[in-house]
Amino acid sequence: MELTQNTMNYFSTLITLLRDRPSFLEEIRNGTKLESKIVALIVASSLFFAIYGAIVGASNGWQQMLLSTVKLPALYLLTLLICLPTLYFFDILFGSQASFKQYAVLSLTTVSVISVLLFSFAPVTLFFLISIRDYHFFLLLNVAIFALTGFIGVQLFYRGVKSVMKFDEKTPPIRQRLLLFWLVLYGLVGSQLGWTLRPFFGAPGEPFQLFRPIESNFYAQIITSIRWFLFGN
Amino acid sequence: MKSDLEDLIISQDQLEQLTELEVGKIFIGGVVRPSALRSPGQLGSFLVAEFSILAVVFIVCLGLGLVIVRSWANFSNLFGLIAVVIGVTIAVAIAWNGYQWQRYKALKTLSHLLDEVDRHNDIVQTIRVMDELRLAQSPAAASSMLNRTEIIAALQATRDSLISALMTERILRCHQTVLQQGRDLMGSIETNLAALQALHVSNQATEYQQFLQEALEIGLAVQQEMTIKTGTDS
Repeated sequence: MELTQNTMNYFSTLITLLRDRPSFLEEIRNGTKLESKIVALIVASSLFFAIYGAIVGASNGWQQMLLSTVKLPALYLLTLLICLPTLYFFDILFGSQASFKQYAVLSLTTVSVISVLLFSFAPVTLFFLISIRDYHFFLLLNVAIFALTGFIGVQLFYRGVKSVMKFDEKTPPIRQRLLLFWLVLYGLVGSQLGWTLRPFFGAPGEPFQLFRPIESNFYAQIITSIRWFLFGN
Repeated sequence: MKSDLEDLIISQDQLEQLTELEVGKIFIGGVVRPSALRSPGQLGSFLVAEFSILAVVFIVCLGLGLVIVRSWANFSNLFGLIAVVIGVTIAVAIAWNGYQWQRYKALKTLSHLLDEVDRHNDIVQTIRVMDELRLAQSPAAASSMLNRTEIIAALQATRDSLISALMTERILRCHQTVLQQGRDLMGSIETNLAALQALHVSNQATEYQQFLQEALEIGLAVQQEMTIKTGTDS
């Protein structure tokens, strides 16, 4: 009973974030229970990413499934690990009073929201995985899902930071520009890291691959897939 | 719950305010409470927490490892990489537990006091259940419970002692030098303990003797803990 209750605490933090964002942001502003929030959000989001990773990896056998179970949470957590110090140091340089833990929780809210949204898309992805065996369609579907969830997550993060740091007309405009710059940086690092760690789902007819050879780039591949999907070449 | 019993409970929010740390059944300020390891349910929760954190460490290390070996020509030894990552994860586990042990030394007194707070809250809950049972059996008898006032007074004294002790501990923890405020609070603990002993003697033959005994034990444990703490720090 206690075991279940304490395990559920990880998810209750996430549910609070989703249901009652103003209170959650208020707690971050006041520095309430930041450590437990960090742990809870990391653990819960990793689990959701792992589940979604397993689903997309299942398109190409059990080995790919196991690897994608690890790769997808690693992708999001590493992106955050790489980008978070930039945000923190630049922001305190331009007058922010927030602590590193507050920045960590705020950025983890983004990752957590993305993980929950991906998890909510899992049945849809699974349905298309079973019903349509088309690699390019599956690829584009997932790019669309990742883009949509990422956009929502980043937007919530942007609003969250503005709320927690109490951005107003007195706030130096550079801090707002810095935040926007960081979001672009986060997107670029994330997409490049994703490209480096691919495949997350293997191409049909090809054997299991730990990595794909580094060729082209993420955006060129998307254009190729759209062309393939629309014109068949 | 009757309002007098409600007021006797030391809530988690109050504990966090008094200690200025995050207080849970398993962790205090990110440090494991040894008492959590004695109960099978809480031990399970601790193991789940530890396993979850190590699983995340494993995932991040493996992801990082994959990014690093990506640039190595003809790398195909995935199992070798996994073995290295498992080694790193075990090293992190050892380092984390070592760090926990180091931090626990500073929070040992607080950990004992929180165990006493749990005991105090358990007694209040038990009395609440007894009140409800009596109320269900005979509504008229509820208002005329024998010695209820004394047990409430005893628990109030225990509560005051615990709060004083928690404040003293926080002051001593935050300021290593012994402060006058710390001494005043220690005096308050001793006064409350004397009151508890008096109540215990006058109620030895009543049905609440067991609770008074426990309240006295908590009071003694608090006094002992704080004597050790103030003795060590001064």
